[in-house]
Amino acid sequence: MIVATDISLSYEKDKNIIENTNFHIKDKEFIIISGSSGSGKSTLLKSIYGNLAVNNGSLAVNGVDITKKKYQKTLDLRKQMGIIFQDYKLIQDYTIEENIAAPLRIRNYDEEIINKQVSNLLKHVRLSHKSKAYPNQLSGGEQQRVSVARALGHNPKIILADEPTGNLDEYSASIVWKLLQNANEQLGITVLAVTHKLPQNLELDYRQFNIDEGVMYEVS
Amino acid sequence: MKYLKSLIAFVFPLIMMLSSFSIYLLVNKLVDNYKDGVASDYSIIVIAKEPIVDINKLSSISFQKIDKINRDDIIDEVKDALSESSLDMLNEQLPYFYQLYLTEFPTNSELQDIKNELKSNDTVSGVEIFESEHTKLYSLLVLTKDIVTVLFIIVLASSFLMLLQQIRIWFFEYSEKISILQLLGASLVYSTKSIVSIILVSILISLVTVFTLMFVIIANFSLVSQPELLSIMPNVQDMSFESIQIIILAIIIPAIAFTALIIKHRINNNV
Repeated sequence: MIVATDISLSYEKDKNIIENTNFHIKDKEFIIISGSSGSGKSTLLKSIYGNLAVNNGSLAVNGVDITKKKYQKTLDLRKQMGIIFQDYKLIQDYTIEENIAAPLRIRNYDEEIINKQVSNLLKHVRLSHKSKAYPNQLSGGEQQRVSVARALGHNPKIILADEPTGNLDEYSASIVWKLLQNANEQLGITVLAVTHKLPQNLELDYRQFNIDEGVMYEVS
Repeated sequence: MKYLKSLIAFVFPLIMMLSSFSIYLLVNKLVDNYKDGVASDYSIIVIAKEPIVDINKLSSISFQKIDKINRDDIIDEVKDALSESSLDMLNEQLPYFYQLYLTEFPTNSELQDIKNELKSNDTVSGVEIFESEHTKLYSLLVLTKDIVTVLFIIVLASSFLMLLQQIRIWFFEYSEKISILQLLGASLVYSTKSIVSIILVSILISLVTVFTLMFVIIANFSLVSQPELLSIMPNVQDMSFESIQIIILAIIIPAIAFTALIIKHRINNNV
């Protein structure tokens, strides 16, 4: 699914945040990447969804080499992904159902299918009663559930979650982890979550990596 | 309210640009129509020492037709006042006269060039170009046309900059939405759909305003122009071709501004 070979990542020349890192993430795995703030977790995720070019080495997602950023390749790749952000990144002038429908509309789904899918997703994240609300009318936990629903809507092959519970209380965080667990176990979606707060009170079968001083290693 | 304000900020320069373009087209049409009308009445008299048999000698000049003026008619008009010997001499000495109808009504300088061209011909002994009132009026209209052209170019350039600025503001206002949609897999063009829809609404409003103004002015031309001018103005009621040109300009200029900013956005954001 994701194969990184000796990759180095940086925002400025000669100041690598991630250095000579290798990893291999298989299909349908649940991966958690942990590390302290500023360790490069989100940077790594950015390179996987094509927002940051790889300096050295090679990075392939789903068999596609994305080492060099290519506009169309990046768009095609993102269409196979669902991305969840710490700050939710919901579109403020869209209602909740429009936000969830956005990835489906981008992929030209039929309106009938979109309505059905959005309705199912709203039920799944228990927000059917707020379908016409706007993001600023929802709590942080609710917004993150919308974000998860949006990421799941188009049946992605992989979900990338960047600090999905970073802004949430323990109860809301556990709901979000549960939703991600269901996506992985029931729908067979590969989940790659970056977090500094590991899921609590959850029987989750995951593989953990840690990033420290620019080097990523697997935690046994 | 904010939406309305930004809409006006875009619609206003667009209306200014389209109005000046309408005036430019209208003046051009009036001048061209007037020019065509005058060209069919206007002719140059060419005086030749011998008959012009080979018409190709005048090939450098673009003319519709050349009419020979009958010498006998000229002699008939004066023969009663002349003696037999004078009449014989006149018959012998009288040159050949031709009326040259040009394909287009020339400007003053073009007319001088034609005159010089004709005079350089060995058989031609004289040329009368009749620099009449028509020529003076035509010069005035051409001057008006040039002034309107310059004004149109100035308005076009300043309007383009204003449109560019407003689209740039929209790009800034919608930057978060654009980046989120791109993260969801949308192309840059799809992500900027909100901006495109405002531009389209603005174009529609501007076109309706400009067409309404234009047709009101044309229908009431007598109210906005001098009576002396009305008599020389040809019919300009049919503005269908000009209307198409206005629609094309209304679409092309915002499209160029939008495309330029899309390219800039792609370069700046490295997408």
